[in-house]
Amino acid sequence: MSATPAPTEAWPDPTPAPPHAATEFFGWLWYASERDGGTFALEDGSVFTFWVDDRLSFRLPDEDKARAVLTGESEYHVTLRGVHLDLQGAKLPAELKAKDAVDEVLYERTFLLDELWFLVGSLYKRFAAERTSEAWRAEHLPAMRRWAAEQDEVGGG
Amino acid sequence: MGILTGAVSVRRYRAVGSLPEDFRTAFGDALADHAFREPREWLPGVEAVGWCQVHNLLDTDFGDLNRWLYNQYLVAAMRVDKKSLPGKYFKAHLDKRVAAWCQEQGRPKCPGPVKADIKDQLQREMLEKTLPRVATYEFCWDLDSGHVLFHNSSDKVNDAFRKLFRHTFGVALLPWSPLDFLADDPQTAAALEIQGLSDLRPDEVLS
Repeated sequence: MSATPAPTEAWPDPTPAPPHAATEFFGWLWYASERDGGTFALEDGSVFTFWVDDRLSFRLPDEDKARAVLTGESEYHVTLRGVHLDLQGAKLPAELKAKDAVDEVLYERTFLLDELWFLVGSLYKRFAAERTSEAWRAEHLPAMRRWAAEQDEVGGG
Repeated sequence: MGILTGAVSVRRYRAVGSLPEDFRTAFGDALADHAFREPREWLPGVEAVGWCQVHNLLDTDFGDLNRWLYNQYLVAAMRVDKKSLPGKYFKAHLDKRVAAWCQEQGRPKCPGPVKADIKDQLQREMLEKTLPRVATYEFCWDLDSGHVLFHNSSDKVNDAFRKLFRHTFGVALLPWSPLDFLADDPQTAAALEIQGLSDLRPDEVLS
């Protein structure tokens, strides 16, 4: 006996996310965190800050990652990794502990993860807006290259 | 146990498919049907895979929905057990058994098929006495939004999860793409995809 519901749609094959959709975002994230002082205004007017806590490491597309810290009223530490923007080692500003009621702990942590995901999504939308704007080639890309060259000089490379 | 404590490492999915009207009953039965069960007999290298509760990996009874459904959140864990034998230790025992057979039969060499039978029997005996290597990977399915968070980012483990999830719930999972953030702005999503691909030229990257 099986109670598994019959599938109502054909199984879609996983569509791989285009690799540049994540890797370009990681580079921009680092650049934007320094360009804007890490301050970011959401559509509702609230503000959060973010900064890249560690060096970005570029290897294979699947291994790209950026470690970022995002703060508003709360502070999140998280590594974004790979083409799916996996969250790794995310530290949530949870107040409840494992010994508290399971449902309360679950709701709090789920809420915080949703908030973190919302913040990442907000940053991604900003990146996408800049990346697809007419000013990208004329302004943003040259500025990023100048910034990258400065980082290279500072780093002694 | 990232779902209830500690740092969190997750891959995000979108569940594709509609929920049955009586999903509480249907999913409870589906979880029970695909719950983790100890195999009657272990074979080397073979994994046993199934669902358990997030509270304890030994809890594989999904009769009480208060243990796996919290408002709109369905939570459970994929348990993966595997038994393996230490190679050198196994070979040493096998050599002894083969030598004993040769002595008993008064033959200088053990034929291949006989050796295969001895090896198979020895594997079964030793695997029965061996504890499995146990891993659990939690997930949380928001039934309202259709998003699923799976607490592991290994591609191999994620593939196994998607397969078990599909067989259990009749729902496919699509891994998150950054372009999904732009779902309400398809023009920008399309432009980003096209521009990124058209810009992927070595001279652009290196200049």
